[in-house]
Amino acid sequence: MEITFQASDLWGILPALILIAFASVAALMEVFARPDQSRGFIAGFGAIGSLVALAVSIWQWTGIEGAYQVPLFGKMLVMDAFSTFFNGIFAVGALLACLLGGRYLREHKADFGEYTALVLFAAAGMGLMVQSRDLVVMFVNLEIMSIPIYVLSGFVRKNRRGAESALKYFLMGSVASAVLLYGVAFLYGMTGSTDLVAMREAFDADKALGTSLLVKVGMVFLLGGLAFKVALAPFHLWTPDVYDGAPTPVTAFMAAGVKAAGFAVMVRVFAVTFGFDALEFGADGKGWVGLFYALAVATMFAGNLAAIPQVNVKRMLAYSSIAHAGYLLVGIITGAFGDLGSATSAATAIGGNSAVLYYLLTYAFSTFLVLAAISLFGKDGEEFVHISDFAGFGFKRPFVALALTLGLLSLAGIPPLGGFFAKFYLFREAMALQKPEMVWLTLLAIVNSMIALYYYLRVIVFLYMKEPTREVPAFESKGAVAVMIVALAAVLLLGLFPDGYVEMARRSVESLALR
Amino acid sequence: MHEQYVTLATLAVVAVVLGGLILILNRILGPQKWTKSKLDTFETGNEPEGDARHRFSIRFYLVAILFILFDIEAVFLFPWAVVYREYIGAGLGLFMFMEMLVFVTILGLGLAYVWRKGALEWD
Amino acid sequence: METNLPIHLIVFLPLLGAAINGLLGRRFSWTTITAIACMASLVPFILSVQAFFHMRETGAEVLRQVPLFTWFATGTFSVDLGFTIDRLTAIFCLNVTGIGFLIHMYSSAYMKEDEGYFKFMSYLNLFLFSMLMLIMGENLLLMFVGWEGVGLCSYLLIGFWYTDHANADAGKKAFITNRIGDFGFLLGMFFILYALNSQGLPMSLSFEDLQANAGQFSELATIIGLLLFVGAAGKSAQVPLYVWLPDAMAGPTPVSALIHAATMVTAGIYMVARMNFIYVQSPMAMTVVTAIGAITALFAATMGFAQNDIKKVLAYSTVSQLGYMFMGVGVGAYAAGLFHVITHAFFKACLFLGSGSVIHALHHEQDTRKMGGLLKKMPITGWTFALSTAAIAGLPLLSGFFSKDEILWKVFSNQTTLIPGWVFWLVGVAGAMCTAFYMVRVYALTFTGTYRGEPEEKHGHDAHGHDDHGHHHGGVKYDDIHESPWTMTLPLVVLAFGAVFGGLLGLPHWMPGHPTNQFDHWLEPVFGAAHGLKFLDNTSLELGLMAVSVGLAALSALVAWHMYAGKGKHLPGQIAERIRPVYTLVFNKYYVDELYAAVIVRPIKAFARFSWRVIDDGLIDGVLVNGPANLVHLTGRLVRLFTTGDVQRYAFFVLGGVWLLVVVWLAE
Repeated sequence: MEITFQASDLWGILPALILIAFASVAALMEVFARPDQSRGFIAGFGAIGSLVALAVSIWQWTGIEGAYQVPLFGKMLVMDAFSTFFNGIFAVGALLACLLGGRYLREHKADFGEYTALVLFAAAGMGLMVQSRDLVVMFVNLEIMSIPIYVLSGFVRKNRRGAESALKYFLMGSVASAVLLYGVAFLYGMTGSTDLVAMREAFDADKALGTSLLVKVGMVFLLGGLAFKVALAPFHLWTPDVYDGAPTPVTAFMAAGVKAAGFAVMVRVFAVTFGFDALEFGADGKGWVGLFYALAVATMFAGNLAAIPQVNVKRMLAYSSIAHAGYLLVGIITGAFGDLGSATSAATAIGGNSAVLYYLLTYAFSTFLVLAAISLFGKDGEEFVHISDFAGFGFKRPFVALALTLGLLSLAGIPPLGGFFAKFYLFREAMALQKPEMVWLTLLAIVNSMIALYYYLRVIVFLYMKEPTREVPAFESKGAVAVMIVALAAVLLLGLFPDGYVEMARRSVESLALR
Repeated sequence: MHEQYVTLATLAVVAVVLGGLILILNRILGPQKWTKSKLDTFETGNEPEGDARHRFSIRFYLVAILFILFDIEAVFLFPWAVVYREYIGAGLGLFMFMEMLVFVTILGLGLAYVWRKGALEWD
Repeated sequence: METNLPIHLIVFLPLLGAAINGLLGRRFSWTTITAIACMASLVPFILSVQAFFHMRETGAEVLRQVPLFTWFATGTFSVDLGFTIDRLTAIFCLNVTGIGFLIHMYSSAYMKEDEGYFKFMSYLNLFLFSMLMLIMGENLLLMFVGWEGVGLCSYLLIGFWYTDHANADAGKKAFITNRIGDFGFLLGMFFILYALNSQGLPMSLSFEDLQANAGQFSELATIIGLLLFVGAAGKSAQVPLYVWLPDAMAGPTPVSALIHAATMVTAGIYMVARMNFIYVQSPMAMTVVTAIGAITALFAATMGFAQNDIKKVLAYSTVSQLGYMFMGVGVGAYAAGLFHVITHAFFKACLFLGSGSVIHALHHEQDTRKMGGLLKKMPITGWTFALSTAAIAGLPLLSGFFSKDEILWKVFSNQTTLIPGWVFWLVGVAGAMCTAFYMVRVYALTFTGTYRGEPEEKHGHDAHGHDDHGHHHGGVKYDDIHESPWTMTLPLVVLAFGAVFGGLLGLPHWMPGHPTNQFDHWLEPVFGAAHGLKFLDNTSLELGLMAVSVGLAALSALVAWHMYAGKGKHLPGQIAERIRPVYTLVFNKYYVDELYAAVIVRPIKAFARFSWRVIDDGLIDGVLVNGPANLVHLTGRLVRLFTTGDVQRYAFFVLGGVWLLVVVWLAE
């Protein structure tokens, strides 16, 4: 294998490079700042870095017109509309996490600049992970993303639950990484390459390969590793502990970023490399479609049913995030009935997968909206997230409560918010396949989103309809308000003017096709 | 088709058998007289002080991790230096030099961070 | 046709009002809040009137403006965010904004003392916005948006007095029952898309395009119609989804009048009427709609007999009247069903507001057993209540008479339903008899005879009705009872006027000088698809049947008057005693709530707990974790401190899950 690269390859990974540069400087700022100085300025610096990365992503997006899967660093990475779309999401995620984190950490007496550095490193890892074309490089980037997240989830060391959950997350994450790597090894063994394009070529050349036992085992293991990151049942058990234990800004960043990165890789690997035409799946419901189908049903129900009895709002949101992962699978399954490279079925693949992208986009903003509001409750390492802590809050801080309400309603899929449209688009694509099994899956998904409304609304009931039972500390934070304004605007925009964003998602998916 | 694995398996079997055989033979043939000083912990001929299984200070781990981290720098620099001449020949000299400079700078930043953070201080 | 009328303002002004009051109302005075809220409903009303007359003068069938924007357009699927007013919408707009305004005005007095006054008015405005969105949206998706919105507002308003746990529960019940309905709606919508897609048609949900493509649904018309009807039955409280409406009476009375009598609950009828082009293609769906309507009309009316809470009686009466409306739209007599929507809005809103006036005067007493003789003290309330009672009972020449009898005749004469019309007619007449009986009963108990609510001397007597709010001090002295202020009585008078003369809007064809029914004529363009439906044409039979039904209802009213206001006061007790089991059954509302609790609610709760407790905690913790964990526990607390058991459990699940997937896949 000849590795060639040129300086222009750096342009392709510029967003990640910027994030890494800002992260390094942020770490140095932490150590060179006066010990008694507030670290808010470092978070601000991180926010600027994220903005620069976002600007570069937008710039790349406008320049990417027509251009298409630019291979970088000797086919290790690529730049395409798909990765640029996600780079944008991650930059926004980092931006919101920085804005949210500054004040939060001060209130919880964990005011360290490393927070900013770690957030930016993780965002860079996510971006590179989505840009990876080689599975080994993808794995390395997965770790670049994961390790800062492990640390972040235990960032408030005073919080014992947080520290415990971080340790758990780390241990479990290592197991999942091992599983994933094992899967990559199997696939390498069978196809002779870890390059996604070469693998696809191997599948195309030898149709029998796709149905061989070891390829299946490899795919399942690869899926297992990714399923852990995006919390699909039965790989979801860590989620409630970690989402609950982690500092709320980190929870939001995880829900918005890690999940999006995991699904992005899932789309890239499964929809393209293991695509319909390559493995001759789908037509008879065989192959990984059936597997995803089972996972989707299990995940939706596991998330929603377990969320119902929760009285801890962050735990409830953790379970709800599991359920959302289940809905997202519906999109991937829909897309699996088509192949991006095929002339006849590309539309199906684009429809299903772009619904996933759109859903991830709205989910990221909705979840930030909700968690930004929730992050205000707490002090000195203790978060007040019992549902009764929200009682009567609705009229004490009308804007925060309104943001929380709209965020929850968006998660629940109430029109005209973004969450509704995302679900509608997703389910419509699934129904448009005109396959009875997809009608049933959509039916189950709708039933689930009906169930979900119940527990989202309970929080709203407490906000507006209950009298507070005790005094709960809730601080003021300009950063959180900024996050809420941005996320609120985004949720409304995505709900009211979805057209442009849907088009973006579709173009992103189109760019994945191997031509 | 699996010839190469047969070789590998043979090697594994031989290694296990040979290693085990030597240990067992040693056990059977060697004289076994246990005295107190023979069972004691060996500490460069000195009288041992206390139990060998005592806890290490957590700082050892920190230093060990930092060592591994910066050790990689040397590991990486060495092959680079070996092939650098060829790069110059291929006209990539400046580029490769800049690449390594970036790498060393990043590690330098890390060192600065660690230093200022106080991780190199024992107390 | 394109119009210069600011149609969008009709929808968005109430939203503006809601936003201003909701966000800033805390700091406003009562006057400011009232002014904002009332203007936000009055101006849309004026605009609706303007639109209505504009349509009358020009004969326009549809008024529309350029859509605000295209909400969504991808491939062959597009949805505009636009509002239109056609003849059906115009009627509903007048109803919603007109009655809405009156109720805003009424609430300004009724809720004046309430701490959350600004919240209340803001919710009312928000409701108005959602309801207008529902009826004016130019496509099915916008209608669904409004549909969800009114559900949410209803939920907020029912639970408004949240300090009482029962109220919050009632809100929840309303919400969950409605979700079942919404599920049907959503599925119906997806099936429409499915049908369009399979025919290769552009996937447009706008009513205009749907109507144009109606012929393509033929095979799926039944399933789509039935699914949409599930939605309608949830929103409009039909058997078996009616259970939420009586409980919803826990909300403040103006809410009951506006949402649960005049407007929101008729959304289901609106929807069936709007989608008429689908229903007319399926006699099956039409039969189901009619049958459910008929069953509800009778079933709910019998439940009205044994209720003592004045608002509960009105609630069951509403459910029953909604049943009549569904009978009308079910057999394809859309204009008749909608006519009843309008007349019902007048007399039922008047009844609710009248009951609110009484409840207000008696400091939140709702039990008719503690009322009596109030006519003397509250003449305006009493007389308007009496007129509305007469209207709902079907006293000839009042509004209810015209609309109800038109429905009954259409039901009798229709030749479409799979069950012959006379069956439904009999059920309807039986329901009408019950209606006359229990309405007269309520009126007699409340306004005639002697007052039974004098406070008892002894303190500490607990006379809590279960769905009243606030503190209760054992009643109000008769001498202290006053008529309500003018802001409350004026709406009563206006509505009573409507209840009496509302029938003039749609005088039947047999009235001298009215060769055509004006109301039918007005709506004709909307229901073009229903023209093919066949009805008997026999005016003398129509008049004869009407005489029978009016006679029976009158008889039943007289009996009730005798039993509750006349000399037969001992009779109710005796009868109840005689038929004790039946009475108990009726009194307990046929135990439907209990049945639902046992069959649906508990299993779901149990299952949710099961999956959480048993699978997550029990099975995994207990069997897989605690087994080893108990061993671990013996070896030391340190290990326990880090709950190693948990991590092992998780690791087990990651690895086990992977292998499970492998096995599942290979076993396929």
